[in-house]
Amino acid sequence: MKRKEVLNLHPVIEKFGKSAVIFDGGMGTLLQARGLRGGELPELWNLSHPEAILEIQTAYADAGCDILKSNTFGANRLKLKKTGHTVEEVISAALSIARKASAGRTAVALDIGPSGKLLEPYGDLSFEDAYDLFREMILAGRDNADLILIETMSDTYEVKAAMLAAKENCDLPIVVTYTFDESGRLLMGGDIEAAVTLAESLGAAAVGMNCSLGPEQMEQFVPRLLQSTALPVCINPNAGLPVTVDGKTSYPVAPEEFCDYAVRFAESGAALLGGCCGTTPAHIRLLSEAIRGKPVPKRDVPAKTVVSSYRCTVTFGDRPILIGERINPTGKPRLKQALRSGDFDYLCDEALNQTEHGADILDVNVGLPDIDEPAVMEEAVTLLQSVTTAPLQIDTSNLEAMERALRLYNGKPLVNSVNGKEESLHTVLPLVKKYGAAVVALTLDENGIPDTAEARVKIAEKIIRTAESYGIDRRDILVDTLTMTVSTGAQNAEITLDALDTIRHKLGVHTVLGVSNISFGLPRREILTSTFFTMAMQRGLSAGIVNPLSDELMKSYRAFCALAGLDSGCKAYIEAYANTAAAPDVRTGAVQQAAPVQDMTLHRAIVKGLCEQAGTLTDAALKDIPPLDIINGMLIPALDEVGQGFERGTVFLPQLLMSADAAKEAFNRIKANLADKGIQEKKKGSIILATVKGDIHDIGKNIVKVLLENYGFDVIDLGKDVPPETIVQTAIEHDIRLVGLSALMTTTVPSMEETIRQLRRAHDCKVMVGGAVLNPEYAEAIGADFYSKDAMGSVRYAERLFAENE
Amino acid sequence: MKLKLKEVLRYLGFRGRPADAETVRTAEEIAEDFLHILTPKCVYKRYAVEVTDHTVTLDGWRIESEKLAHHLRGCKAAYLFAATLGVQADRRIRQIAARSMSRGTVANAVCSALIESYCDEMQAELAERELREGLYLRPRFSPGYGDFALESQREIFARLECEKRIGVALTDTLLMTPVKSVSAVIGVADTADCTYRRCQNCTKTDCAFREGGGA
Repeated sequence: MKRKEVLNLHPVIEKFGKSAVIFDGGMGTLLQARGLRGGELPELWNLSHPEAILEIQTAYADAGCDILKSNTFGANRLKLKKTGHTVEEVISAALSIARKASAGRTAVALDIGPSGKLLEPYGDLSFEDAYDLFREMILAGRDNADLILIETMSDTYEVKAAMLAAKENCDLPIVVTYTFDESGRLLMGGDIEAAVTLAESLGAAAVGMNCSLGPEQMEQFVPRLLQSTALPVCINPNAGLPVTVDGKTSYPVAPEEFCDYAVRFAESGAALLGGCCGTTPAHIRLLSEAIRGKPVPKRDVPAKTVVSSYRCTVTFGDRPILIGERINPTGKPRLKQALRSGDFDYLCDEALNQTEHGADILDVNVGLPDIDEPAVMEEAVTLLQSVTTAPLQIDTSNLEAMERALRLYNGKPLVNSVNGKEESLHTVLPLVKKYGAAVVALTLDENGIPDTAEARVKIAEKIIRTAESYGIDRRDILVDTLTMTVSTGAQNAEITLDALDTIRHKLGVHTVLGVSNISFGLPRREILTSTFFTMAMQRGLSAGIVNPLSDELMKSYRAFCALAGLDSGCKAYIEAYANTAAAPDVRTGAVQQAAPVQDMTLHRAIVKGLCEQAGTLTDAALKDIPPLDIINGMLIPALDEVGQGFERGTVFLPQLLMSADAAKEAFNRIKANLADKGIQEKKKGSIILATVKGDIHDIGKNIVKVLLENYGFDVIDLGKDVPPETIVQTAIEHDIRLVGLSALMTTTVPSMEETIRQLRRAHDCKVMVGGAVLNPEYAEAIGADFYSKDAMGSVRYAERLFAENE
Repeated sequence: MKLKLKEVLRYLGFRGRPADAETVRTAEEIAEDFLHILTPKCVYKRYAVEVTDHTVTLDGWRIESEKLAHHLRGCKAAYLFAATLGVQADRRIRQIAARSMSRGTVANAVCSALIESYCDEMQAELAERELREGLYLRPRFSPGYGDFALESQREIFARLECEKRIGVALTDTLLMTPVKSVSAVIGVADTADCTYRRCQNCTKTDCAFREGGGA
């Protein structure tokens, strides 16, 4: 079950964190001096100029480094594509050269740089394709390398792909170094702590930073880096910031100055030091003479419980952490309906609502008996992490859904949950270990939930022991001592809290509770729930799984933080309550309750694009008008009025869309109403929308989607960069009558043409197209049935088409 | 970076006609938010160039493009230039659009205007530097304009190391990600030239975004 320990670690690896280890320096700048041309791949020189690489690496080994980096930084399939050489060929050659240069004097690192692509959803490389790219490099190099260096990384997601590829295909230790900009962030937005947390959670042997900055600019980040991890820390700066004159780049920091900085880094606790762009064997020689082999100073890094998103970390143990509970279909008909119909906008809205109201972490539970939970979970996690910066809590008992979510999650997640049952322990904990997660541990086992605090503590101890046997540190466990409703037993709160207190204070393990269950079956639940929450926080609750939209609960929370000295200067409290009277409850929808407006009709609210009022007026109308009459008698005429204005040129796009947003809010209220009554809403017909393969501009398509949905069509949104095959397959599967394709660039119109060609061969349907570069003639030439010059055009065409078909 | 409201409204299809107060207010509010969160970045390198009637040669790279050659006529040097608002812009637009399509659309237009004004500002800095040597910059000319092939993106990106330095990558179809990014060639000449205007030189006269109205 546990991964086999590596038998023959290179002696240099054993020194990590004990005595200073020296990395070699730059390669690219030295190759340019030897004639590498602008735009030429340095990795091809392993084949064309092996003697140049050998000479440089021999000079580094002579200079006294402990680790040589193979010249394989960009040797991935994408970058080598048109070179006529394979990854295998280039990497084998590179490692042979490094081995020869080393001559047994140094370890050799298989050097892996970024893919050179942006990952989805912001770029066009999928996570699994990134994994494959790195896997191929690792397979080519694993037998001749002593460690893997994943370096110059500006995206935690790529690091995750590369680390998983390494862990699943070899047993070599992994060193990860990131590139931060001058504000201390990755280009993809992550801060130092988030970056380090991800690498550490996935089992890096050392972590650090390299490239982009010189030692002077990096110095300010060294203390933060050293504080964020107990792992050995690696620092490989450039020789200063680059200076370019007539297309030639040089780096200004001389060996002596470079070395002075590196010595300071080593003295403050860095364990691996070397150089990146612009550094030379002369830099490394001085560095090696000054610090190689010196003992690494002991650091005092507190063991923290941390989870992370791509952007930031959340640390348990200071103020209690709020985990938003609302993305969970239990008892929520509207969310159930959204999950079944793939309405992920609704999920995004729930996510953003909760973080705006103070949630630190979001629980994600999409479990419904009749859906493909692994697929929906995968989609939900992918989408949620693209709109929120809050870390996610993967909440499922479906192991496949759990693993897929853990794999695709860009950060260190929290898993909800494991329990004391043998089956749970031995299926969930291996996943937690493999993907470096933290985990919620429920104090129940084969015999159910014990009714004494002692027995719950015993189960917690068993889970902690078992987790430790899997190599999971106890700081990555949060014990849930289980809230039982107080209406079924007067001692229920006390048992839960006693167990919680013992676990927090005697076992030193963090705790979590699903708070609201305490009041189940009782009136005015928020009163009990919020007081119980306060009691739990008082006894040592590290995190509550709560509804942050509950005003009562948040009052208790903010008051507790202020009174417990966790809200310095009562800042958060004042920010929330200054200038407020005893406020009405926070509503659960996207918007605050709008004040009643005289003389406002639903029609007018839609025309004017007033979301809040459209929502309120719809709720009011639903009391005595059938939903279908509201849609056909009020919403559609209002939309038509705006649409006609747009077509005449008196209404402009932003206004058209404001009306669309207002109508959408009205439809949301109607959907919620229907869902509560268990009524299936009727659609006019299904339409596929997609931005074609190769094109990543989807705003036009998204506009069309909103309008079509408002007009009652069921839109299957396939997203952007969609292969023709996917469109064809979906069209056949759902027997689609109309496909809408969008392309913004001249260069992607051929892909639109190809999609139409494939659709014609396989399925009888109409195709409408739109996008900045198209016009009616062009649309006809590529075989489309209809050219839509704007968003309203597609609505009108769809209406005509589906009216004819009826 | 400064917001040019006029540009935002042009991208939103107002084409010189007066915009409603709500749209203007939304654009300004969104721009303020973006100006607060964005950290735009750019990278450039200056090269000697050789220009003939239909080719430009730079750092051993021979570019076949009459339009570019015409544009760089008389230049002895040129910058390769790339800039981006960063992936944070894409993220934020997505976040806003997930809740309101009208605000998302305005945010998209705001970012299109912001990246252009960021490029203008960076270019103004370069122009100032060149002016000290008595030299003048030509306007930006990007791959995909006229006959300047989009394939040139690969050559520009390889030389500027855009992925590593500013976090911009090319898709398989040579589009830039993050989306709010610009790449260009900027000529350096010893005479000023004020006659050039981007939209007026473009042959796509029915473009919805053409400056000064259009079809």
